[in-house]
Amino acid sequence: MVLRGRRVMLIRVQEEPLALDEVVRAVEHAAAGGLVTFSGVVRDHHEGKRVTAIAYEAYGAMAEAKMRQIGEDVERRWPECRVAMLHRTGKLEIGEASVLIAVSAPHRAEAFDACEYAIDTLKQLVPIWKKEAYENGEVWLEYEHRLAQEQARGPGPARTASPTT
Amino acid sequence: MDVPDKSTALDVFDRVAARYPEMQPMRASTLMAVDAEYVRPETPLREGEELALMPPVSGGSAAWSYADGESC
Repeated sequence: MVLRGRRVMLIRVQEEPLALDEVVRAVEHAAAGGLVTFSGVVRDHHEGKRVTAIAYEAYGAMAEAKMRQIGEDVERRWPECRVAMLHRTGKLEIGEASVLIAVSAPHRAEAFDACEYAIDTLKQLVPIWKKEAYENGEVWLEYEHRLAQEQARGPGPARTASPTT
Repeated sequence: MDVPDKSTALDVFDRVAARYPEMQPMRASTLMAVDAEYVRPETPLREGEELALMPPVSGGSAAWSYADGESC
């Protein structure tokens, strides 16, 4: 996808099921010799409890804005990488993907590093919550918030700029 | 929600928490964002901005565990 000569990064939060080939297609190109994908998948247990389903809820506009910041951050840190990220919301069954990330690079090392960075950062900055349903009840879980708090404190006196790392 | 001039994000939290007292214990741990950017609680708000209050969710010890390396 090209807009005014610049590629548009694929970033989206959606209720519909995620398709791995969409993120792959968004980052593949002739100079990319390595392409790494990460799929976050709903699993059937959490801390010893049997999970039956998970519901994800996003603060939509902010979630996409933060994912885009992370993507731009990745492409700044690893200038030869391209990245695409999709996150799902709504109720998911065991085995369904909640998040997909693809990163391409000329060589595999950057692609692996950048993909790991992208998922680790996404989980700390993107305001998406999940509610796990167990056989005997359900509970809301938060995203880990340390990095978000660091952003809130920011480098400046009152307001924060974009991510600093 | 209409708030007085020079209100901060935390002032708005307090107004909301006055209406929903169960939020009170989350005062120190609630994340706040203005127009999709995380901000400090003492950040002053301007006309037309969107403030989001994101409390840690209840759920006992399971809360805050989303990204501790366990979830996927």
